[in-house]
Amino acid sequence: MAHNSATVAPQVYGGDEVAAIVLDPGSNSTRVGYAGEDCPRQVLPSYYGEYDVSGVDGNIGKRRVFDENLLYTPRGDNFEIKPILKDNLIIDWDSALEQWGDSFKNLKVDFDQQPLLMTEPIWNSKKNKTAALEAALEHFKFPAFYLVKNPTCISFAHGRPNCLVVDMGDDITSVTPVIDGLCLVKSTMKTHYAGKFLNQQLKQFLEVANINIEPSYKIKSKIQSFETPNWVAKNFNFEITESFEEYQKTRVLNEMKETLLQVKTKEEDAVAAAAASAASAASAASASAPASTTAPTAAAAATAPTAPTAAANTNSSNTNTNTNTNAVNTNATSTASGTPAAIPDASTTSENDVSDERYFELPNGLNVKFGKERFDIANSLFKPAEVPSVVRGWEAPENGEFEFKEAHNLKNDYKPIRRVRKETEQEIAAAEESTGKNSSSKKKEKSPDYRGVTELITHVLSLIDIDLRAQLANNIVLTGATSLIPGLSEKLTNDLILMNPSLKIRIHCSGNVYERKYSSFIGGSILASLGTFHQLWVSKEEYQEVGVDRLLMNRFK
Amino acid sequence: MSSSSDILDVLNITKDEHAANKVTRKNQLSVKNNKKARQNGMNRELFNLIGSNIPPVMLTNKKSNKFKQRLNSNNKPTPWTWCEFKNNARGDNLKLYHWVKGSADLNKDKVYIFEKFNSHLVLPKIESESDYNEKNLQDDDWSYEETKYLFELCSDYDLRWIVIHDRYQFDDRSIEDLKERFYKVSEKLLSSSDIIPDEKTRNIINSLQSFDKQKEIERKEYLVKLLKRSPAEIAEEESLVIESRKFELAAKKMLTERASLLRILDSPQATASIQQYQTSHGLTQLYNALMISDKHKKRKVETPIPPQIPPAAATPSALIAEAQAQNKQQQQQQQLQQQQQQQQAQLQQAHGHHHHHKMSQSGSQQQQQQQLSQQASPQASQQQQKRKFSVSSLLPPEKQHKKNSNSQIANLLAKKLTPEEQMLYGISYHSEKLTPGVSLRSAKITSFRPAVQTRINSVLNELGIAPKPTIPTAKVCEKFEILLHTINLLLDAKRQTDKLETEIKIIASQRQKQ
Repeated sequence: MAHNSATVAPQVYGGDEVAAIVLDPGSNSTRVGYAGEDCPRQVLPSYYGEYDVSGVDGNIGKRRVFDENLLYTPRGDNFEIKPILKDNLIIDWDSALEQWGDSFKNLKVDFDQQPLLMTEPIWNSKKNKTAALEAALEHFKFPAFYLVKNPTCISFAHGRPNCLVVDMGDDITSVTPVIDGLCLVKSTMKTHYAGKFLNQQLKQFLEVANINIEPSYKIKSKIQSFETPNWVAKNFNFEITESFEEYQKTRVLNEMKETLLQVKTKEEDAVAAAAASAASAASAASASAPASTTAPTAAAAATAPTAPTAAANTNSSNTNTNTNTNAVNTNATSTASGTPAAIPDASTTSENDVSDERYFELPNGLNVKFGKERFDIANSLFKPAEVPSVVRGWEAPENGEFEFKEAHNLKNDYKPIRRVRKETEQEIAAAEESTGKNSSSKKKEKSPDYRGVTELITHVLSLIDIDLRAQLANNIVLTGATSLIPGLSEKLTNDLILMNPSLKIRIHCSGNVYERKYSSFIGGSILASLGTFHQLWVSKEEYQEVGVDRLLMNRFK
Repeated sequence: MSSSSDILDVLNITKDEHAANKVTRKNQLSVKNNKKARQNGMNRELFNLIGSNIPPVMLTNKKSNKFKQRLNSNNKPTPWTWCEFKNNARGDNLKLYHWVKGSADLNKDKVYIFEKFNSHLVLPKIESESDYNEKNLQDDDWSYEETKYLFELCSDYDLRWIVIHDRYQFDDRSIEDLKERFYKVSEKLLSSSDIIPDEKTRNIINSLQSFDKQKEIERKEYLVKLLKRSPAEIAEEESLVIESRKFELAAKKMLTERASLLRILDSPQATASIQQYQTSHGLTQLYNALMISDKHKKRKVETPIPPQIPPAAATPSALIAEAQAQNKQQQQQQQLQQQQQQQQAQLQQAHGHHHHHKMSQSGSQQQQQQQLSQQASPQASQQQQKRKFSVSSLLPPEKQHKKNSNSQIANLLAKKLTPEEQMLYGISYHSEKLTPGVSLRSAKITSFRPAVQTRINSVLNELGIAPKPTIPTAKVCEKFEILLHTINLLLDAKRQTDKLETEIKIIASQRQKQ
């Protein structure tokens, strides 16, 4: 507690470290670490490998591996890669427990002293919550445990108790209003227009172009090429499972997504055209100079700050593209080694802008050209209805609304029967004096089939109580790795301002890649190291006395 | 070609033999290598500059080699202990561990510092169903269970209505419903308690009673409407706001301008009493004082006029002073005129006896003055009076008389002509000051504002009268002036009636609409 001079408001340092462990499972990666630290100690893929092991008695058992490197190594013994989570919900508890156990072992957790804080999505089921409680307090025997909702963590990570959290992850894009650190469950919206949606589109783009993705584990040697792939395959004397192959392909797709995609607004297009003509003029002016590298230097100068995605992409060994920063949308084509340098031409500022082209080198050495698809695919997050071809797996339109299956019926036990009759009366009354009722929440209007991010946020804003709408619109927190696509936050801001002219829109997103990717963990880390939080832990004692059902009802509503 | 030895020569340094002998074996090896790989061209030049292979580390005497002194502190570092603590804000006995300053024993009995942040709102409670029934808390729309559920949520979320509404799963209720119910029940609970409510609770009850669900809903509707404006509407509103600001600014500016104008125009109110001027003696004194100041002024006029301060820059006091000075001048002029009129009256009286008019004139004047002075102040000396009068600006008529006494015409001119005579001679007296130089009489005819002038001209045109009189004799001009003024008056009247008529029409049409 530090009381400064009279001019500064006395501030209480609210931290009190109890060496809590923070566990933040996501649909792509699971983050584990100590509370009070600004970065997770371990980022594990939310997948596991499983292979057959023949036991002593001849029975075939299964063994799981969780190490990221092992997941990329082909094996003969029916090696399958399976997901632990789907839609941010744990679907495979056995492997989840094994993975976490391994991780806790690596962190040298003392299960007698250190409590565990776990994050959960808004749409977490009662079954899952129960399983989490059991896992922490019975399986791992932590002294205390707590489940926090993801958006609450994000609001803590950004230091905004009242905000609208827009989390664009791998599986799900969700929008949640947070008031005083408490999530508003009823006005939360989620769609599947997130990272995997983009992956699928990239995959289909390659399929249409008749290009096979050959994952790197297959490649023995390769020669760079632009038309037909020229490579030698490794020979395996065992069979590779389909799931393993898929997982390796996903890795390539992820890389493509991270390095290629870009969101462009109409204004930026205009600016880019102007910049292109300016750049070409500059290069023309310096053409008389003896220097042989006029164009590349100009390009390099324009793209000086490397894009955060490139930095984030830790294992991008075979990419030869640079992504532009979203702030300076230059037209310089990447001139990395091997790629033919396409010098920007002033005459081609049409739709097929040469400067917008990027080459992506697949693991087998084939360079694939991406033109305006880079923008089209990224824009599908905003306009999922305008995707030209049907995206497999996303055929059914989504408008963000979802039903709580179990969580909503918690109070069912003491719902009086006569209420049913009353309700109909009320609704008639409501219809009669429709002016007095909030029609948007009472009767569902004919909601659109598709909702992109912008529509989703706008819709959530319209659901929030009018007294808070302006405040939340001014405190939109954008997070999640998919939000790192260059230009996305700018376009989101522009579109939101256009759609909500009377609201003052302000989007807050961290410039730091790690803060953007792990904001949920960071928030959990902050929360679990707060002195005032320590009264919230659910202890083993409480768990045994109160029981799971009441705990869920009272503590984890 | 230069070598290291050349440089050393230049710098007057003899080669350190000692250092050369100390070259380690490794260095020797490298020297040999160097010799093997003979450098040529630029490289050799560079190597020559470097000199012999002296290690880059400065060799110093071992005795003088000193390291930074060790921290010589007797203070022991404060011990921190990892020890368990109990948080009394919790209902159970959970023991968590944290680092504390000092030993574990010291911290054993300390209260956990974050306990005090465990605060809850104190809300009224429904004890039981019988309690609920006793206090008449029933409502057709609300069951006991639901009310109890609402109260639980309210205490759980410390009256964060939005969260309460979000977590409310009992029924589909609006926030206003929940608020109304909670406030009503709380009010009843508070007022029905056996203890007589103190000031604070009475205030709470009052504020609880003041909640109006309908008004709250209306307020929210207005807010929704406000937020649903289209961009065009918002832009319009903004432009209107800007316009109104402009108007406000203009009005403000006008007011200040008007105020400053009024300040300039307003004649200053006499602050001092006029008692002292009511006696003739006082009057003469004032008169004399004015004369003197007037004389000073007249002299001053000859001196170059200092640059005048614009009225805006002048302070109010300065402005007032100026106005007072002007006023004084006016008074002086009036008095002068009065004096002159008096004299003329006397002249007319003495018209009959021309032959000794000068004597009688001066005599009567003196007499008059003496009488005046004697009446006013018997103690004031006659001499003084005389002197003052000789100085005063009353002189010109006297001088006139002196000059004119020689000629008949001058005599004629000196006296006031009768209107018949004026007509006869074509001479007129001017009440106003004449501008020097020659001017046409027709140019003197008053002109109006251009807008008014054109209208007057058109009326004149209608009447068949030229806009300027053809033969502008004094009489014609006089009549023409009168005509112009009448036309102006008539036009004004016409305009006023028109305005009133249209107003009447508007009001009538509005009434009809209503």
